[in-house]
This record gives sequence, C-alpha cells and structure tokens, in this order.
Amino acid sequence: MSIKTRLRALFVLFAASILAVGIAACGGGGSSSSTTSAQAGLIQSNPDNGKVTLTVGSKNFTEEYILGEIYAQALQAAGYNVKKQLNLGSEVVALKALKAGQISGYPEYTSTALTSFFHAAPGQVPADAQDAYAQAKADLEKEGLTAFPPTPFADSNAVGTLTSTAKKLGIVNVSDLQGKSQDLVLDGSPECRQRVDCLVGLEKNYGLKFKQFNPVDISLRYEVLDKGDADMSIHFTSSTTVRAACVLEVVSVVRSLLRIVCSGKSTWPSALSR
Amino acid sequence: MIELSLPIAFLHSFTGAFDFILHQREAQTRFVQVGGLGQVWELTRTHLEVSGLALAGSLALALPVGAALGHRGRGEMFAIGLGNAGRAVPELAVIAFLVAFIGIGLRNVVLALMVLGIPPILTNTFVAVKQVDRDAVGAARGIGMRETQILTRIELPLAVPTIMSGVRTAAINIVATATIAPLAGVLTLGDFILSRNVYGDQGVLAGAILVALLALIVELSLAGVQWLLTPRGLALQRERAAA
Repeated sequence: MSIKTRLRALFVLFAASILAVGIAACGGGGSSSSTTSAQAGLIQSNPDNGKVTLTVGSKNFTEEYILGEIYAQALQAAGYNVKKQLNLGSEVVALKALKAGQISGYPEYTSTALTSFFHAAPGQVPADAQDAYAQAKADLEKEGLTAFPPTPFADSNAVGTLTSTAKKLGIVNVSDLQGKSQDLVLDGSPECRQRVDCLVGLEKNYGLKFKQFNPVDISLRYEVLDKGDADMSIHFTSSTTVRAACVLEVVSVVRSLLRIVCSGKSTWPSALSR
Repeated sequence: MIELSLPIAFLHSFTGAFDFILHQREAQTRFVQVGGLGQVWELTRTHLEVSGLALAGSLALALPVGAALGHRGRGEMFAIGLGNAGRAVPELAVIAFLVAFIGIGLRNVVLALMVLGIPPILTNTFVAVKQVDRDAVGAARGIGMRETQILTRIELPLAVPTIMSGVRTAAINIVATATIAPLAGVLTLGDFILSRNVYGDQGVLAGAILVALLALIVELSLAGVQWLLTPRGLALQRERAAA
C-alpha cells in the first residue's frame, strides 16, 4: 500500500464531529475567504497573517495528534506563525491550557464539550449534529471561547471484535450481544468502566452484563483482542490502529450520545484530499 | 493576589482529596458512584497484592544470584551493569512490550514490576556480600565451616543492612510504579490518577496521596524488618561507631 493511498484511507476513516475551539486570533470573516479557495483546492497564504503567532494544541491520542497537526499545517499554509503543543492530556487539561492562554486552540468533540465541560446528561445532547454544535458554541461563548465550524466527519465509541468472533457469535449489532455478553470479556480504557458513553451505557441502555471488563491503555486495545485476552474491545470509529483482522461491525454504544455527526462546512478537506 | 490564592486553592484541593477518600460521590462523568472507603480499600488491596508479588518475585530471583556472585566475588559487570541498565528501562515500555507477548493481567504487571525490583536488590546483595569483612570469612573457614555455611551464617547476616536498603528501594519503586497497572488490566490506586475524567482533580490528588502513604508505610515496615534481621553484634558495632 503506497503512502498516498494509506493517507487517503485514513481520511476516509475519519468521521468526527470535531470543532476547533477558540482560535480567536483567526477572526471571523477572514478565515473563510483566505483558506477555502475552491478552484485551486489550496490554502492561500496571506502575508498579513505572518504577524500573528498561534499555538495549536491537541489531546493525547492518535486522532488528536493528527487533527492538531492538520490544523497547524493548514494555518501555517495560510501564512500564520504556528507553534504546536500536542499531547496535552484529557480535555480538562486542554481547556485549562486554552483558558490560560498557553494554546490558541485545539480540536474538541461537540458531545465531549457538552458532557464534560457543561455537564449535559447524554439525553440532553441534541441528536442532530447542527443543534449539538449550536449548543456547544453557545455554551463556549459564555466562557469567552469561540467554537469554529465543525468538520464533516464524526468519531464515537463503538464495540469491536475480531471478524472471526463476530461470525462465530452471529452478531452484527450491539443489541445482538444480549444473552451472550455474560460469557464475553470486554476491554477498554480504565475510565470506560464509569462512563455512560462506554461500559455504563452498555449496561444501562442495552442491559448487557459482561463476564469481565479488562482495563487497558487506549493504544493497547487491539493487541489485547489479538492475544485473545478479551473477546470485545471498545474502540473509536475513526481509529487508525484498527487492522484488517480487527475490523468488523461498528455500532454506537449509546445512541443518544454518539449518533451526532456534524455536517458543517470544513476548511480543510479540500486541501487534504488533493 | 496569586501569592495568597495559591496556598488557599492548594489547601482546598487537599480537603477535597480527603473528602474523596472518605465519602462516595457521583463521578464527573455522572451515573455511577466513585471514591469513598469502599473503592479505596478495594484498589489498595490489589495495589498491595501486585506490589507484594512483584517484590517477592524480585527477591526470589535477585537475592540468590546476588549472594552467589558476591560470595565468589565474580560477575561484578553482570550484577552492577544489569542493575544500572534495569533502572533505566521505562516501565510503560515494559508493560506495552509484555502485553504483546504475554497478555494483560496480574502476571504481566507483576513481571513488568519485577524489572524494576530486581536491579537494586541484585546490586546491593552482590556488593554487600562481597564487602563482608574478609577476616570474619577467613575465621569462619578456619573453624571448618563449609562455603554454604559461610554464606548463610556469616556473610548474609553481616550484609543485612545493605541488602535491606536495596529491598527498600525496590519496594518503593514497585509501589509507586504499580500506579500504571490499570493500563494493563489490573485496577490499582493508579486508577484514581489515570482516569481524571471520571474522578476529577480531587480524585487524582487523592490517588497520589494514597500511593505516597502506601509507599511510606511499606518503607517503615521494611525498616522494622531490617531492624529485626540485623545481628545484634552488627547493631552494637554500628552504635559504637556512631558514638
């Protein structure tokens, strides 16, 4: 597989409702006109932007590194003076850094912003992508932060298993696990145990009760599946670490929380799919 | 402003952390109860279990090898080189490596922690046994003691203080590092620290306090063990030297 096709595959996999929070220095009108030049599909560099220094942050997992890097390179292409602070930790750390002015912005998920920052219950998160974005934008505005238009792709938690396991058990959807889960071992990040968009949601919304839950490092989830230490694994629908052997039916864990797909305009894909 | 508010905020976090340890509360992510003595005890128990097994495993491997090498006065490169190299290995890498080969769970975490526990015990045992007063060893040989007797009755008792300082270092390293076990399938007190989203800042601080306390308790208990194991003659000699 050439690097080019691999890269393309990667961006096809992305489907995350991610919004860049608070790059205030970009200003309102200027960014859309200078960065999306539809014909060329290229970001135009504006010499005036060179006076502005922006620090792009990101949280601490693969997808966020890539997104942070994409934003950083795009802003750089637009002529900004760009610094990077990727790998900041969870959203709590990223938000602190943003409020303290240590970063100018970072990619955040609409539903994460609503549930983590503003303590919205999963039921309160609008199922419609645009509504969810509008709510997050309004909430962030009160904090003095700007939410920029979301990406057209979304990411959510899903239950995954080896293709062979899925075939053997005859499962396609998460609901098919009912009556089978008591014999199955699930793995996921340690915090998954207490999150409603993870194990708690599977138990409450689907009535599943797994034989065991194995907490593991996010980056080790597929290794554990391969080794046979778990039958099922929580993973991100956008995950780039999913290898062919591991991919299978991907279903949202918590409908209300995870169905959100933002379809707003995005500045970047035109430049990326070149 | 900052000078005043910082200590106050600090104090506030501490009371919050102790409240987290004592009383259950709703998780930051809602819907479940976390913290409180029940969960603290549960996690402390696995923390101690993992640490205890790792220390026992390290002792079982490093003590005989270190003693044998020290008795012969050979293998300095091995005992000290391995000791130093072992301390330089990042534990997270060991865990990730072992997950790929052995899998997750207690056994894997214990093995990873042994990588941390073996070096100080091995190095200290080697050095301690090797440096036992040669006159004492010569005298023992003179009265007809066999080599194993010399090792167990003369060299090892005299080496207790140095060996135990290695054991104490190993124990503290292990207890502190067992915090990463939740990344490999074993829920220790590190869970409070790793899952900030769930437990919040107070939970993170509570976890840090608990691990520090645990390390202190383990250190003090091992100091007690050392006191019990140190031969009376050696203790007297040390007191005299100190006086």
